[in-house]
Amino acid sequence: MTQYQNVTPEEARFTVRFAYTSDLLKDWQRHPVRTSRKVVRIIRPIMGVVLILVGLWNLWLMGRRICTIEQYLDFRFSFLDRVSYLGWELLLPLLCLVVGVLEFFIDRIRLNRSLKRMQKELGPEPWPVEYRFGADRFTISQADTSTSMVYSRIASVGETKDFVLLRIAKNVFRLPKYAFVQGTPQEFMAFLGAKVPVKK
Amino acid sequence: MWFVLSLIALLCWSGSDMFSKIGSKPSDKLSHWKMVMAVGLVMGIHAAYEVFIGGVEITWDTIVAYLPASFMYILSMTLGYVGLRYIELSVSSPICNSSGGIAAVLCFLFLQEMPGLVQWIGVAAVTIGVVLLGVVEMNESDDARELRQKNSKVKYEKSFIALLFPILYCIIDALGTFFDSVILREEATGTFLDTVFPTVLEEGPANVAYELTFLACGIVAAIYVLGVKRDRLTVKAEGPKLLGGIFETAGQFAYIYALGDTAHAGFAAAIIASYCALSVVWSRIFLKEKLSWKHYGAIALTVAGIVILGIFDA
Repeated sequence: MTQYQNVTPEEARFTVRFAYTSDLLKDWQRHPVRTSRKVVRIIRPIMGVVLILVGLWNLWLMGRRICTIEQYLDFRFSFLDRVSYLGWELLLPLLCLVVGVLEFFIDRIRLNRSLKRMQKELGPEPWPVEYRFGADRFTISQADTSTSMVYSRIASVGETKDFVLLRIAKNVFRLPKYAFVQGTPQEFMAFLGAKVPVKK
Repeated sequence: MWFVLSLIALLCWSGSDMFSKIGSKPSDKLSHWKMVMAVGLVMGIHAAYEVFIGGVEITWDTIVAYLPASFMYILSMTLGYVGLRYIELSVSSPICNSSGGIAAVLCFLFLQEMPGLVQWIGVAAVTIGVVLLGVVEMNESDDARELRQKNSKVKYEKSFIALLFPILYCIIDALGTFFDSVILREEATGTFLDTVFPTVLEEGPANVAYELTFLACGIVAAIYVLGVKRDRLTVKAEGPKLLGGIFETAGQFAYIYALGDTAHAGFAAAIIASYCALSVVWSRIFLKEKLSWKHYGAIALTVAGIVILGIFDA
């Protein structure tokens, strides 16, 4: 990948500076900005409840069936019968229950894992980050590392009530409007709107 | 008598729609839980009447056997209540009520119930109507939306998420209807569904089982709202929700007896199925919701499909 020179504070037209904290990241997870994430956040608990219900229903059905341990061990049952009994009657409902419960906690588990990784790599929170936007490129600085890119790397730019959103590859970067220390969000949108597609 | 009962069901359900909408303020993030509380309370009272005065026999087994259907109905209604915060009732109601189309397809796929040509036309009309409604809603310009919402009491933004809730309602309610028809079957389906739903129920106990399950959900919702979230209830804010619950249950009561007159069941079903059209009228008059002619065109097509399915379902 081409290495670009970092945008210096003198070259910067817009500067955004804020710090990631676990509370901020939790809040961002609770209030996603991408439609796909919003849809997943709605569907996930519904799927969780439905899977738990399916699991419980199957266990209830199993309880109603006549199959006992003696019958299960009965020599007349073939190996395949026993495997399918274990699979369908027991493992499937248990799997539904486990996945159903996980649906409620998976986001929290993922966030905790990434918070731990950040703590390991960047030290204790808060984790300051600075975005500097120059005439033809921009720099993202966090801890001791900086990454510079040209504007063509930004797929699109969007805006919500509280954030300016930069879509780079598959990621969406949020720039809180309160964090603009140089320039204003309106000026920034006009500046960037001339360089990259604006997504409403 | 069937005609009066049909009109009562029509007025009650459209009234329930309107009061639920009035009770679902966009600023109240717990409004759907409160709606479940209100509807659960009214349904619980009606279930008590059915059990202690009507003499309906109810057991735990009945409640559990009907749980898949009642759970789907309750889940769909809850999602519908969430959606009412973000979208006009005039758009949401026709989408929600098109679940009959999906239920017909599910019955065709799993129960080999072959719909007739007219029913297929109904399914097609509903599907095209709902898709058109979604397309019109998403493609409307911000200026046009602002102009038509000028006199509306609540302003809504264009959002896919707002459309998602009625769509989810439609799908989950259709699943509920499908489970309902399997659990209340008169003869074996001859498919795996006979094994998955081994208990067959009568309509009366099934309805009471549904109401008692709703009551249980209402109690859970009350614990969450009052105990966990420590929210306060006020007569002014919760009154419309309670009225919504009363109208919903009264509509259900009238519906069952209107369809009980088998000689006129088709006509009764047609009248009742068109209640979402009346919801659109109430929204226009009382909530000042104004839609574009494209919206109304798509809604008319959807309602026509719903009425066709209603007639043939009866």
